[in-house]
Amino acid sequence: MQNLSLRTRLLAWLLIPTVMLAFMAWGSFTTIENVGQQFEQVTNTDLAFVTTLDSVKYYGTRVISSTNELILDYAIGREGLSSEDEADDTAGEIDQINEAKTGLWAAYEQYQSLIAKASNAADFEDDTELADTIGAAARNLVATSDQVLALQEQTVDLWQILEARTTFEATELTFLDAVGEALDEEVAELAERQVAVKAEGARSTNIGLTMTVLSFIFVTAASYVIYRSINGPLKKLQQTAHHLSRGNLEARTGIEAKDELGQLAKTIDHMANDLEVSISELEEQTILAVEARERAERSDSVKSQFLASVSHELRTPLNAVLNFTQFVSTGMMGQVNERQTEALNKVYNSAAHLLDLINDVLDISKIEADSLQLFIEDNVNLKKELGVVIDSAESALKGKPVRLHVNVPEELPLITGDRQRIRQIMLNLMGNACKFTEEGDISLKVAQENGNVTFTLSDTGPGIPPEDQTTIFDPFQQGKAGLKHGGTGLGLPITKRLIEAHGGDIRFETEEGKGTTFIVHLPVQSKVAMPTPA
Amino acid sequence: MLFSAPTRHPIILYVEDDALSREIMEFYLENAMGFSREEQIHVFESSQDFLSRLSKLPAKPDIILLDIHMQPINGFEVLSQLRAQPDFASTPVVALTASVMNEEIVMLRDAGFNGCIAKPIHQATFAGNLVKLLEGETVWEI
Repeated sequence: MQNLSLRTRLLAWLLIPTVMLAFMAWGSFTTIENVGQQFEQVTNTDLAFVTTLDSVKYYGTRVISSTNELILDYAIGREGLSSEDEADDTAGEIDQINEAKTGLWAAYEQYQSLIAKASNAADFEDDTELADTIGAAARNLVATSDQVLALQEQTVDLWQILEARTTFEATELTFLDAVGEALDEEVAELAERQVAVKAEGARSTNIGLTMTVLSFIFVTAASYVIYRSINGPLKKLQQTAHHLSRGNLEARTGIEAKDELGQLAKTIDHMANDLEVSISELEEQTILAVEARERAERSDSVKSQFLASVSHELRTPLNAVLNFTQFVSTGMMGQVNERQTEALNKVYNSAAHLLDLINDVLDISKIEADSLQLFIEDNVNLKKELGVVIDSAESALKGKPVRLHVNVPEELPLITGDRQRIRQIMLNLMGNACKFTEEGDISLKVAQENGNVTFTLSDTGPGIPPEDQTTIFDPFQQGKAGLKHGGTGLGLPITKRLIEAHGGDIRFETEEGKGTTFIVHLPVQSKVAMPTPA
Repeated sequence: MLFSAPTRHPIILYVEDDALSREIMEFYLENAMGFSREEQIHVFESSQDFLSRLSKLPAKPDIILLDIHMQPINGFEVLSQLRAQPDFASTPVVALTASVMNEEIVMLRDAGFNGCIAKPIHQATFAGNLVKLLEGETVWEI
């Protein structure tokens, strides 16, 4: 069954009941027809026989009774008891006799023709014999009746009448016997036939019932077998698919058949195999990836620790240099003269510059190593930071013929970002402007637009020469102006990366000999580009 | 003197293992801010020294300046032991560090420090920051 195609099985499942139904219908019709035929036979033949014989008997009986009446009339007339009316009665009797005779012959003929029609019946011989007997009896009856009739013409005495009567009586009895016998037989036959028909009917019903039950069992059994053969594999397929979808990849269908379901099962099994292999490969890959990431993280943390140590080691000695120098130069450790103060200030400035370099180098290292992490707050007060920047600009420009123009709105939003770094950005840019502009103007404009704060810083410095324009944001690529003024060569690169870390951008417009304008956008709600610890 | 001392005389605990740094801080606190070395400034040369003498302090401190990069017990460890004691659970503790990386600031904040000041000490701003810290503000100055 499993190797028959699904189509075949389904077709069989459909056709078997249909065929059975057709067969049953045919059976029923045939049976009904049979029974109908038999019934017809009973009515047409047996009943007909009985009816006809009954007619024969009836007419015969009338002949007999009328003839007897006539005889009686003779007897009465002989005794001279007849009257005028009796002559009419006699005539009436005679008419009746004749009428009955006609009827009798007609009935007899009918009987004979019936017998002829039923010539294929088994009791044909008996029937014709019977018919002949009846015929003979009838003829005798009629003959004797005629004899009685003939007496009417004559004058007969009682003795003759009695004789006629006896003769007639004999034929009467013979006739009645014959007819009676025939009738009994026919009635018996009719009863038999009725029983037979009934039996036949019962038999047909039984057969029909049995056939129905058998068909029912057969169809049910066949359907069940086919159903099982389809449902079994279907269930297995369903279960396997369910297990697979749940992640239990060892599930297999266990179906080996060659039909459509078997093919499907094969496909699913293959797919499961492939899945298992893929998943285990993926797991391997994931383990490798996790290991790689852990290695990278460890390496990052090593780098961070290294930078932290470097930072510590470089700055600690500078702490001593800067602070002791200041203690002395500010007179806290005793009086100092102007020359000493000047000398100490130079020491201090160099140390401060060294500190700047260290900070910048550490910053750029962090950025290059992707270790820069911002300390984000969402309430950085730009106004305040700008204040610091402007103060430092004013002190840096002391003594230089440069005017500082500041255009900052009354209301500046609190922005999200790293406060120190934002200050660093502005200090760097303003510091550069102050450093490079010998005379003229420096103007700072701050505005808010489109969710950004825009800083526009213009100076009338030397401008950036074309050959330097592509590299000013690269580390250690100082333009010739930068070289002249010292500096670390790291300020702009760090500034740019810090701006971008906040999700902002920086660009410049410049004309050599005229000046430079830097334009910076910082988002108010900084979309931080670099990761921050939680 | 650069700054006058606050009218109330704060007690300052200072833990630092580097001799030069100690000298600078002590000199500054005394000369620039006018604190008394004997009464107000208590200096400890190591974290173990500090922790062991903690219970024997003559008076409750108003602020603790703590160097982070000490061995074998670093500043974080000292802080957690400090905070475990009810007497010091809310004392302002300031981290002093020469290696201020931004992630360190977050770590310091999460650990429970009230502020941090970077080394080298910037004389122009240190006094102001210290006053702020004494007044209960937090300062994260790098």
